[in-house]
Amino acid sequence: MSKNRNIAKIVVSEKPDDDIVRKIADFVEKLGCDGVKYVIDPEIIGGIVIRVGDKVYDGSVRTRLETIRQAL
Amino acid sequence: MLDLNEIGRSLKEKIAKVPERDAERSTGRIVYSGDGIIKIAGLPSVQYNELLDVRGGYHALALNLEHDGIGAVLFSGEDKIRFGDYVYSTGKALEMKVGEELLGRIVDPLGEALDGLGEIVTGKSRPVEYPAPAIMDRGKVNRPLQTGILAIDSMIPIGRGQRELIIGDRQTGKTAIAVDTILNQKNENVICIYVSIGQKASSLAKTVNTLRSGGAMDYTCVVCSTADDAVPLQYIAPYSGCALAEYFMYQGKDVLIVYDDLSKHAVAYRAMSLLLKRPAGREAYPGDVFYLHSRLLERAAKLSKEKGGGSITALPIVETLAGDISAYIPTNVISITDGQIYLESELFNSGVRPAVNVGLSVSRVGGSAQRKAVRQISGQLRINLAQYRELAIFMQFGSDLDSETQKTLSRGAKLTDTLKQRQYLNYSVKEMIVLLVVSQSDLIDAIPAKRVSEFNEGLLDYFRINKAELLSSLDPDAALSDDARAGILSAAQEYMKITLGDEGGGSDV
Repeated sequence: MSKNRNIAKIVVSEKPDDDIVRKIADFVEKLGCDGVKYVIDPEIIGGIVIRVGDKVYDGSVRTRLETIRQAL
Repeated sequence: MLDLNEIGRSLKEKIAKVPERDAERSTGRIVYSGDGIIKIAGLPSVQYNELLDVRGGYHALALNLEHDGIGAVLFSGEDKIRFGDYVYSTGKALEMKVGEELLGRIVDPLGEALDGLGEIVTGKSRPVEYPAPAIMDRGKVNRPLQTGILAIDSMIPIGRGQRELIIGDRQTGKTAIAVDTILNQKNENVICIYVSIGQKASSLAKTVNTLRSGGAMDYTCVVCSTADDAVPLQYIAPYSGCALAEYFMYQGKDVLIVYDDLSKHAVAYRAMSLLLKRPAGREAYPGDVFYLHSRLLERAAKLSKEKGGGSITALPIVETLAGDISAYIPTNVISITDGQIYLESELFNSGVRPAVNVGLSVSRVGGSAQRKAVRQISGQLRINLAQYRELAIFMQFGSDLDSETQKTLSRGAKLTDTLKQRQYLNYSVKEMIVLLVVSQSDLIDAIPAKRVSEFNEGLLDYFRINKAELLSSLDPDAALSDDARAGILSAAQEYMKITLGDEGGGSDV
């Protein structure tokens, strides 16, 4: 775990274009990450999930839909 | 016909109102799961008693914060979660839905409906764990909580804001007393909350039916966790019920809350603690089992006038094994509460119902809350009964007793019979005054020994129908005047002539 502590894990639904890749790189660099690892998971439907150590930034469509389902 | 556009529009509105989740959340992963307990690695800065979201829409409660991980208990989904699943912190403590909407409903310890009467929307909630009112915020217990049970209201009076334990073996009528008390609050303007902890669903269904058919559900909420519910739900049930009670208390209302029962609550907490590998103490209960109940019962209080004057009266129930009130949990709760109503199976089986053992039952604060007239005429009752019980032991030695002793014995037996009361047959304060005056007068000698209960019920009917004026003129909050006493006695004599006259009335047994 400690080995991966500074590697950001990015989950996306499909391969992002270069512009977005650059924006993500900027964002995770601000969080103090050394590297980025992409995982393509169609289950999140859309959006993006960024995991850095014990923090998660969840902007996926799946989570958003789940929140709405629970609230209704 | 359904208007599709209309539905779409209202859905859009609702979705727009759904708040965005915090963008940044801390996470951990499940590294152990078993018996409803999960261990989580990661999850920095989680708080004690914090609600956790487990992937898949399940919830857990963080209870052990240790150097190598977090120990938490799952509310549901034990069989669905997988090793390595993500767990998210919420930054929130556990909360219970509160509001007037919960009255008349049956809910789980998180405020979700269980009665199939539709979702409960209140928009309000209170933390399940909440500090008890401070010393300066408390007032004096000075108003009675009428149970409608003669033996209790006359000798073990309960005041609003008091904690009175109901203790006894299984099948001694503990729940019956609590239910009778709830039924008696119909016109008393008291909100009732019945918390079931780890009970059989069948007994709970029976209780709820009783409450419903007695019209008590209008002002009652049933917070329910049954024996098959996850242990953590049973553990939080009384605190949830108390959170709801506090909501009403802080509005200045009077609330009665029944915890049925705290021995099962302690057992649920013991199961959780042992699984969480907390050190076991006496009877394998964890070290903080006293605090478990003291922090719950301290939340029952009478607030001062400045704080609105509301109150929570708590009737916790504890089940003993073979009458052993010196076991761990019974002694704990006895020392926390302001008195106890002790029920005995021996009395119950010999027909004394409610099976209250008057000698072992006490009320430490209720006396000052008792209605003045009742206090005045029931003062001697306890002493008379104690004398009778002492003498009753001699009864076994045959009839070589002087007439004075025989009189005390016969009166004592009839007094005991007067205190017998059928379930669901509650007396009003004024009716109690009549019964107490008559049963402590010389008239009682004229009633045949085996017919006291029957006579009393008839007497009250006679008063309700023929002496309604006299009955309503009684003032429970003032000392009983000699005139009123004479009035009651002469009316009782009239009734005696009617019922006992043809049997040569007046003659004793």
